[in-house]
Amino acid sequence: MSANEDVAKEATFGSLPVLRSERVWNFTDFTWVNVGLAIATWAFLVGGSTAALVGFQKGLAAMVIGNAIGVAVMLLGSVVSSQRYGVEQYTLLRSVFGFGGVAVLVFTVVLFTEMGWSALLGVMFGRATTQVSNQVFGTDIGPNALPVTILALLALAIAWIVLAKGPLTMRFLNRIVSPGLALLTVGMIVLVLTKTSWNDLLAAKPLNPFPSEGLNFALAVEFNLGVGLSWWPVMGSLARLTDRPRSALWPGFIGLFGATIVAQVVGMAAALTLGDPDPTVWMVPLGGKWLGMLALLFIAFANLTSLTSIVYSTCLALRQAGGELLARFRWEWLTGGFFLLPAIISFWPNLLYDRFLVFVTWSGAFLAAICGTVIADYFVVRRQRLDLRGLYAHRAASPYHFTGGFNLSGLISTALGAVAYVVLYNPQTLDTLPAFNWLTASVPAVVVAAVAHIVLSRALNRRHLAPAVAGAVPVTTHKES
Amino acid sequence: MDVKDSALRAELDRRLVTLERDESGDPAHAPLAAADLWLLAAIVVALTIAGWVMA
Repeated sequence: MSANEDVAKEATFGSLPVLRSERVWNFTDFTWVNVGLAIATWAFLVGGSTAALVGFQKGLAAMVIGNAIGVAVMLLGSVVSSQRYGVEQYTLLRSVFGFGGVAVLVFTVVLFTEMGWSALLGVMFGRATTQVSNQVFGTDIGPNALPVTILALLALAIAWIVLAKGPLTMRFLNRIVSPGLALLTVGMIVLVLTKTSWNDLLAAKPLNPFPSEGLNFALAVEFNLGVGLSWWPVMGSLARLTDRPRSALWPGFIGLFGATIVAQVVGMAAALTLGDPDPTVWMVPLGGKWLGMLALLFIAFANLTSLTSIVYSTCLALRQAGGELLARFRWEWLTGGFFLLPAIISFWPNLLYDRFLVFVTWSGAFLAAICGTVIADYFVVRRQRLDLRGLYAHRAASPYHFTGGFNLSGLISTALGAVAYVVLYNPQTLDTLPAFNWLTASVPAVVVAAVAHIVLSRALNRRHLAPAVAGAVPVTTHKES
Repeated sequence: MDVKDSALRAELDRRLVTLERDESGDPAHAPLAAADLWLLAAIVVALTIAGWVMA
């Protein structure tokens, strides 16, 4: 089967409900999938950025609080419904936002969030490889120099070629990278512990804090909340392949909370020990010239596989949300078009990389509001019952057509949640209200969006809220617990 | 998904019929139990409190 056929099959049939025989992951399988996802190079970057704000103990506390809440909210907003109905999340979201509303979200929040992550990974590839050049050839290439941009563009080009070859090539690369990153994490733990003592680690000062200690901790919590929420765009599509509700929820929490914390803590410890938040700077001082170079080359390679995974799932979502228009685009052109903005961003390597906190919290503002709306819709408004046939019906024939394809309740609620976030904490100006230090911004955003959706649904969508029983598939008539 | 694609609609209908006929009552389609939701909430609250104490 050619790459195009492979992708076309997944992009079209991938949006259909899976059958029992296709649910291939049990509890253990899905735990390993999530652990593999969690131990990625960006976890080191998160650890380094947390160390910029707070010391080790407060950083660990911020990671525990932020990831626990963020991952739990994200799981309830994506994997629970996808697991039950065996359907990827962008199709299920039609019940929350309408057909057109899903397209709006995919082409704005999801697209720009994933483009940002792609640009970050490209620049990280550039910085890792220029560090290798500095060691081997004695060059003195700075973190924002032109060669970093050129190598970032090379990373995007390689990722494009891998994507064009289809998902099988990506799966092969991921099988090498996941165990390798776990090994790298363990190696870093050993090396960090040989470089510093436990007492020195606890006494290490944050790298670049703001004057207010309370604000630094609140920002660190908010940042880690954003990190937990940032899994949302990809998790529903994975969870539909699990065999039980518990096989989706708990492995998600174990992997994305537990394994993420380990990798982030290692990153934070390395950053505090070496005095730099950038993971590409740590490897040579930690491992020496040759081991450090090997680690840097592996990080560069690992970034390529993360990059292809992100772009693959996002472009599939674009195809599914884009309807007939994007279905006509050749896969190579669609993925190529996706790389355009990350390529432009690569000319300013520090734009997102050195403002990682700002980027993560901006995307967290929208993802928190989306999750709040989705949780309220699935658990409260629809009481875990959806009309599976209706999700696939054509336009006005679907109960999820709402107003011209847009569920105004879902969209307005999400907007209100995002506004609540920005009022409490503006990621651009860093202005905060006093309540931010206690409530964070993401948690109120989830609550505001959820309450607004419950109220607005009752007011605007009374006729769409009848229980989905008549003519429905058995999943909607299963005995409720 | 192109809802007017006849091959796709046929595959969708086949799957919906199979779900209706063969998978009724399958535990894969059960709703998430309330006990799991409460346990998740309790773990998150416990971790949040532990975090605040640690900070």
